[in-house]
This record gives sequence, structure tokens and C-alpha cells, in this order.
Amino acid sequence: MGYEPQIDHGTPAVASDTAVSLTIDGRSITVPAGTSVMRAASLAGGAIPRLCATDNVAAYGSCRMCLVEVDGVRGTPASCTTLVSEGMVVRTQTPRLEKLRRGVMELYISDHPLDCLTCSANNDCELQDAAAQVGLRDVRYGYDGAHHLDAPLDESNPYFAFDAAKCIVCSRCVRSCDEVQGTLALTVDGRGFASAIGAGQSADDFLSSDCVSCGACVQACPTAALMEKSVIEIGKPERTVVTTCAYCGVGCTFRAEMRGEQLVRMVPWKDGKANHGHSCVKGRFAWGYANHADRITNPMIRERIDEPWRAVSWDEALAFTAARLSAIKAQYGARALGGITSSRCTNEEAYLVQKLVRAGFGSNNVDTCARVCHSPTGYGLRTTFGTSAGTQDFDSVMDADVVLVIGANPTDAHPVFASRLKQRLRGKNGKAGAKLIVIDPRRIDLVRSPHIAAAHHLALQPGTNVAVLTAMAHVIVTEGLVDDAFVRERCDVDAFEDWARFVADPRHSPEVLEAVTRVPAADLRAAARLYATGGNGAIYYGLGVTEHSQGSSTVMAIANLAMATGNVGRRGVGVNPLRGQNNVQGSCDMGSFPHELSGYRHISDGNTRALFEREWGVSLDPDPGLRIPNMLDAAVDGSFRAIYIQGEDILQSDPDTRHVAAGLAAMDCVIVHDLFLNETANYAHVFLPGSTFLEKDGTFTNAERRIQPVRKVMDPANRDGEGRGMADWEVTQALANAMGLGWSYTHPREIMDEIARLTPSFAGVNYARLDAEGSLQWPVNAEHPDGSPIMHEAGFVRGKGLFVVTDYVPTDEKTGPRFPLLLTTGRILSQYNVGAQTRRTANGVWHKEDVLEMHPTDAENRGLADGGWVRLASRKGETTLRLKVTDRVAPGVVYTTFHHPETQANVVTTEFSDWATNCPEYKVTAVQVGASNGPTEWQRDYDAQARTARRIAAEPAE
Amino acid sequence: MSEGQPAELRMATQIARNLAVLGEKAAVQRTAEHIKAYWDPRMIARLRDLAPVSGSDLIAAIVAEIPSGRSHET
Ligand code: SF4
Ligand code: SF4
Ligand code: SF4
Ligand code: FES
Repeated sequence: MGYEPQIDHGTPAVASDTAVSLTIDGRSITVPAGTSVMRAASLAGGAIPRLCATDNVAAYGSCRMCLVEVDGVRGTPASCTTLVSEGMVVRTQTPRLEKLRRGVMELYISDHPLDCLTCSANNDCELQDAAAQVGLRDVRYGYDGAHHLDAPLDESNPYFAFDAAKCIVCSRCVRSCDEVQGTLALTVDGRGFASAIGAGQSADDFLSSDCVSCGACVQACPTAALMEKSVIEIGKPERTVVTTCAYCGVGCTFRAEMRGEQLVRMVPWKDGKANHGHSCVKGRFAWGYANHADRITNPMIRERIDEPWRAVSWDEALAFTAARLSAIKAQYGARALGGITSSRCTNEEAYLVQKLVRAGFGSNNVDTCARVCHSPTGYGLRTTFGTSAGTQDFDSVMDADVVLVIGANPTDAHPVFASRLKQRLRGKNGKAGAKLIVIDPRRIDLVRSPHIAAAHHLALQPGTNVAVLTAMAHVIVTEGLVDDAFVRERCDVDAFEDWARFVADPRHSPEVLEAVTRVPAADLRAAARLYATGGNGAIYYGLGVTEHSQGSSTVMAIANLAMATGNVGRRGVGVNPLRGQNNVQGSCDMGSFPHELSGYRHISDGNTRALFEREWGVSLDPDPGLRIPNMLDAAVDGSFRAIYIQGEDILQSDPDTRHVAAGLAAMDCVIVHDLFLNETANYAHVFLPGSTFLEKDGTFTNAERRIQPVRKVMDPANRDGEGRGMADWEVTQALANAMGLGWSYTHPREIMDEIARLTPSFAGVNYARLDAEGSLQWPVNAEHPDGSPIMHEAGFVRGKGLFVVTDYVPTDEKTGPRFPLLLTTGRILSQYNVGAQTRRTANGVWHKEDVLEMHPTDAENRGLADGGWVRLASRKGETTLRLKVTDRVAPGVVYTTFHHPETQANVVTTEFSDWATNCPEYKVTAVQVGASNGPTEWQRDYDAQARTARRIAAEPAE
Repeated sequence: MSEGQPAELRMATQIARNLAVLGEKAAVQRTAEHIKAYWDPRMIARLRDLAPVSGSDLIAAIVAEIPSGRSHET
């Protein structure tokens, strides 16, 4: 027992249909052709000494430690760069090898400080291991050939330190940054012994370089040269638990490396099928929020929101809440109550919240924050294909030939997927890179980054996605590029013909639509031809597609394009929504929408309802309930009066902040269940302290429908005065029981068993299988016993694929003399969503505040300077922030993020939303920008209200 | 809503506009189905109340197509 790093086989795994058998030190082993001798030896249970090889990057062959002897081969080849061959006989330990290796080792050690006992890598250092393996006993060269010993320490990165004195110039870090991450921030300067690793230009340190702090180099470093600061502070971990990142929809899995109940570091799990041993700065490093001083760990209540909070026991808080809810239900009826499930919490927790609302409150007023991000994906893909989810696994991108990225910014929002995508765009082993088409109003990083250039960047006018996609369809249909065989065999042909007639109309040509899209027709034609004829075409899209008044139409237009070109149902193609939060997919799957039960079955369906009614022992309301925006409208009208919000901050994340505030203020009982007193909590009567993903068991489902375990590594910190702490699912259960529901789950695995019983697409999912297999991709049932990496392979889930005519209907949000600019919003790498977690970590060094990006021409016209304060106003409200002048955005377009409450970017966003799902139109707001000298009146009022609302009574009442 | 028309009118009109390409009859029919499938009953009731005062033939036609009473069992 005790701590072991994850095994490193020295060189990456190779896939091959040909097997090769060889003998290593008398043991025979069979491996795929193309495997290195080093990897084969490791798989056979051996360990050839090595320094420059690690299995995350290609072999390099520079250190000469891994020499072996091969019968019939002269000399001593390096085992990391020598591939196995049939019948090969390898010896890894001979007197000659011993001597050679010791010589190499002596050279390394002569330039390395010998302070092993006080070194942060002590006992977890591959240089020590190699010295031990070769039996180093003496260093004949003395220690004065040293080149690196007095090198300065670079501690500029908040999470890791670079100690050049400990560097052995193996270049693993440089190669990881290149091959794994794709950022190429590091270089090796100089030659031989005088060579040194550097970040960026010579004057740069890690923080000022291009480094995005993914940590791949730290993980690859064999010594203490690149080391997590947490390890330097705490020491070596003692045990590890595999769990899943709680930040984004990529769903990276990690080994949480622990010492007692203290998390020492997160190391991406190499067997994780979503991330293959890679991660971004958030998952690997930004977990400090879990014990941030702002975290509230005690239940709190108050009669009215202008009173200070009163810390109470769990029992008192739950009794207070249950009494209020019951009173409201008695007076106003069940439909006055509702809840919001969280895309940050586990599947089991989301399931329990919707169960509490439907079975306990007795209404269908349950919604989830996917409403404000991917509800159009559910609607659009269900209508066209028959399932509310993406079609591929992430690995599929390695077989794509043309990648179309629309309304997504993967390098910032889905960084680990972006790294895979970049690997494919760069090509490898003689295989040419995939071609890239980007459709986005803004020049995202992917358009041009090291070794990558998009073939086409269609910088459309915000709000014209449907017009651009219709014009692409026009080109594909009128130029005869449709995959007729696919359409005839797999799709509804009548619907196809209607659609083809519609898009072929001359008024949908790129030339005509150029007037609204501002995309040059020739570019658009070329992009459409490339997608239709360039081989496997894969579409990846994000919130820039969904958060529009035509979000659902855009998703369907994307699906139409994929069907017309035959790009569905096999590896390398497909339609892939890049999901925002970690469990957006899961919270939708779990029945979080007001009109459907788990597995996307409509609440009006009597048979489905009967299934749940039997299991739950209640009768269910057959009519759909309110969606989040409708709840707020109904609250203002007085017919909706109580809400239980788990793990969401709707006041900050939802559009039209004033309207959200008015809705919340009108309610009689607002229950916020969260880690922090978030902005919504300013209007709450009950605060139930939440638990982090480190404090609970459960599952998350990522953007590829992959269900992965979340495992508890420490006890919940939300202990009341009586020392009782609860994971979020236990809190929901306790609230249900305070309302007399009599639930008795003892572990989330029992909740998953219930989900599997009631949900056909989850029928084969259980914890024992998840533990054994690491993850499962739904549907998992009799037809797909091993899950479904790729969907619609044999045929569309709905039967025939359905083409839907999507007419371009311009948004009502229009620019005019008062508001001449279009605002669009997005996010950046180091922050996450409303920033509740990331703002409470050292990630602030990369993004201290939201800034407004504006084209130089627009700035000049307004006399605005880079870095100055500006006032951003829409017809809804105004806020102030700093200006960044850049040509990333086109003239007429401005861009900002929404990570900071001080900015309150949603004060300016409007009530407009997607026609089919009410997903808010975040991506288009007509605004004006002018000079300012400080916060607006709204920001000051808001701040004063927030201060009052956050007061906690000094004396515990009692 | 702080300004403009009531939310239910705005939403119903928007759905119909996005389905208008199907032709008027089908658009009205599909809008009514959409509303029945996704709207809470109190929103439907409000739309019914608003229809006569809205002065919109389109809204009146949609409302006439929404089945009344509790959801039909399927
Ligand atoms: S910093 Fe670490 S990984 Fe990079 S060259 Fe030096 S020893 Fe190797
Ligand atoms: S942290 Fe990531 S981006 Fe930064 S230098 Fe290391 S590998 Fe490159
Ligand atoms: S935030 Fe996303 S990309 Fe980053 S580690 Fe977590 S799951 Fe992976
Ligand atoms: S490990 Fe093979 S040469 Fe370095």
C-alpha cells in the first residue's frame, strides 16, 4: 500500500492489428507492432532505466540511459526509440550496459545538487530511481562541471515552481507542452551541458510567457525542477483516489493524491477516456476554493431578506424550510413551488432534486441551468436525430479530415478537448492534419496558433448563424454535393426534398445573404465545399450557437448539414455540442426539464408517468411546469412563491439581472443550497451549505455522454454546531424527509439503481460496472450492452433522420442610433462560469476583471483608450468595465466575459430568448459604449444591497 | 416583463414566426402543439386571456388550436 505514481511505460501505447512476439531477459511477451522495446519491457514487468522518456510524449532518445543489447544487432541501441520485431531477443542488464549507464548517470549527477533529503521530489524522483537502478556509488567527475546549480528559482506561476538547478534538460517538459498541450511555450536554449529550459522569450518567466498553466510539463518532469507548490508545501502524498473534474463538460478524470484528508495534488489519470492523462489549469490546480474562507459551512435562516442571517442547526433549518414550503403549498397550491437542479452537482443529486419537486412539492416546476446554455441542443438534436446529445466520443476527432467549429472557443472553454483537436489539426506520423473551418464573430485563438491556421474563418455578424448555415446548405445542394445514398437510405426523403427546395432558393445564396451575414460569399462557398467534400467532416459547436433567439434552429441547421453530407454515424464525423459545465449533459438526462422525466420522456406520456408513479408512490401532474424565465415572470405575477436552488447562481448567470432580482424578491421562500453566499443568496431565506465534489460520491456525465464516478476523498465540511455534515444528496433527502417523504437512500449507488430501473437508456448502468470499467457512455442497455461511443451507427435513433426547414428570422434585438453596437459574450480559460469557484483561487492572476473588447475603429470614433473605464449600456441597464482595444472583434461588435459579479454583464442582457426553449439570447445585445469614470449607480446600489443581505448575526441565536 | 408586450404574447408570436415557413395553417397548428408540449398551464391560460385584447388574428388562431383541459394521455 501507500503512494505509487501511476505506472509509466516510457513510450505511448500503439494501436496495431499486428502482434509481435519477442523475448526480453528470457521472458517472452507479445505486443502490438510499433511498440518500443522499452514499453514492451515495462509491460513484461521490467523497468529499463530512463530519463528522457515518458509515455505521454513520443520517444526522443537523448539521455542514453535506456540502452539495451539485442542479439544480432551491433552496439547498444536505445530501447525507447527501438521498435520491437518478431523473434527479437533483448537483454536489459549486462556488464557492458551497467558500465555505460553508470557513466551517463555520473555525468548527470555531477551537475545536480545532492540535497535529496530536503528536496520536494524526495522519494518521488526519477533521477533518484535511475541512480538506484544503475547502482551509482561514486561520481568521478566531481561536482564542479556544474552549469545549473545557481540558476534562479521561477515562482511566478501561482501553482508550480521552476527550479532550474534541479533540471536535467531531458526536454520532457518542452515536448509535453508541444505534443500534449499544443501551446509550445517552452524552449531549450543552448547545447549540451550548457543548455537550459526557458519559458517564452529570454526575458519571460512562466507567468509572462504563453504558458496556460495546464501542468503537463510539471507532470512530465522527472525531478523537482518543475514541481507543484502544494507538494513543496505539504510533501509527498500517501494515497490516491480516482475522481472526475467538477469544472467543465470535458470531464477529465484525475487521481486525487491525498495526505490524510488534505488534497496534495490532482494528477490527470492516464486511463481516463476523456482526457488520456491531460488536464487544464482549472481541474489540476484550481481546487483551493474547497476550503476558501468565504465558504459557508453552517445552515442559516432568516424570516425576511432584510434581516441578517442566523446560523442554526441542520434540524432547525430543515424544519423551518419544510414548514414554509408546506404553508405555501397549502395556501397557493403545488404549482406555486419549484426547484432548480445543478449542472455542477452529480447525476444522483440532480435526480433527487427533480424527484423532490415532482413527488414532494407536487409540481413540474423544475428546471436546470442548461436552460440558459444547451436547451436548444436537446430540442434540435432530438427533433432531427432522435436523441438529445452529441453523436461522438472525443477520440473520434482523431479520424476527422475537416473540423467545423461554430460558436465555440475550445482553447478557452474546453481546453483538454482543444489539445486533442490541435493534435489532429497538426497531423502526425506522416498523416496530414485536418482542415479547420471556424465560424465565429471573434477571431478565437484556434484561428491562428502555433502550427495551426484555419482554412476559413467566417467572421459573421452576431445573430446570423442560421443565415450562414442556410447559405452553406444552398451551396451544397445547388452544387450537387449532397450525399444522395446516405440521404435516401437513412433520412426521411420527403422532408429532405422540402428542405433542399427551400435552401436552393436563390434568396438563400451566399451572395444574397452576404448583406446580413457580412461573410464574403466566396469564402462561404469555399468553406461549404470543403466541409462537403473534404472527407470525414465533424462539427463542434458551443454556446455561440445555442444562446440566440434562433438557437434551436441553428442546432437543427447544423444537423441538416451533417445529414446532407453523410457525416453522421461513424468515427471522425458527427455533431458535437461542447457542453459548458461538468454535468450539463447529466442534469438534462436526469429529468431536470419541466416537460420531461429522466431519459427525455415527455411528462404527458401516461405509460412513463405510471412507471414513476408506481416507484414513487405518488400521482404526477401531467402538464409541463415552468421554465426558469417563466418562474421569474410567475413570481412577479404572484403565482409562483417558493424555489429550492441547488448549486446555481441565477442572479448572476441569468439574463436581465433586474428582472431576476424582482422575481426573487417577490417570493416567500428562496432556498439556496451552495458553497458560498452567492449573489442569488442575497434574496434567500434559507441557506443550506453545500459540499464540494471532493466530499461526495456520485457520477457526472460529460459532453460525450460518458458517465464517470466522482469519489469522496474527504468528509463534508458543512458541519453544523452539532458536528453533522452532509453531502448535497443527503441534504436534499433530509429536506424531503422533513416534508414527510420518508426517503432512505444510504448511498448514491442506490439512487443510480433507481435511475437505471426507470430509464431505458441507463438500464445497464450501475456502480459495480462503473468501478470495473472506469466509465460508460449511454445508452447502455440490451441493445448496447457496452455503451455507445458513437451514436446512430446503424440508423438514427428516431428511425429516419429528419431534415427541418430552418428559416432565418432576425432577432428582435436590433442596433439603432441609441445602441449602435452588438455585444456578444464568452468566457476565458482560467475562469469558470460565474467564477464562484475560480475567483476563489489563484487563477485571478490571469483574469482579474471582465474587460470589454472593441475594434480600434470603434474605439477611435468614440475617443476611447485601451485600459480606460467605459460605460456599457443597453435598453435594459448599464455597467462599467475596462476597455481592451483589439482587432479580434470586427467593427460594430464588442465582446466581454461574465465571470465577475462587480461587472454584472447580465445587467445589460435582455429578455429575448430562443423561440423553442427560452434559452436566453446572451450572444446578441444592442449596446452603446462611452467614456466613464467609475461604477454606475446600479453597481453601487447593488453593492449596498448585497452588503446588507450578506450580514450574518454575530451571536448564534439561542 | 419590464417593457414591451406580455411575455406570453411575445413568445407565441416568436414561435409562429419561426414556423411561418411551413405555411400559415401548419404554422398555427405546430405553434399550438409546441405551446401545449412546453408551456405551464397558467401560461396557456394567460395567452387565452390575452388573445382577444391583443387584436392579433394569429394569436387568436393559435389559441383556438390549443386543446383545453388537462394534458391528453398519449
Ligand atoms: S524542467 Fe524537468 S522536464 Fe524539463 S528539462 Fe528540466 S528536468 Fe526535464
Ligand atoms: S504548464 Fe502547460 S502550457 Fe505551461 S509550459 Fe507547462 S505544458 Fe506548457
Ligand atoms: S476544467 Fe474541463 S478541461 Fe479542465 S481539467 Fe476540468 S474537465 Fe478537464
Ligand atoms: S530514455 Fe531512452 S534515450 Fe532517454
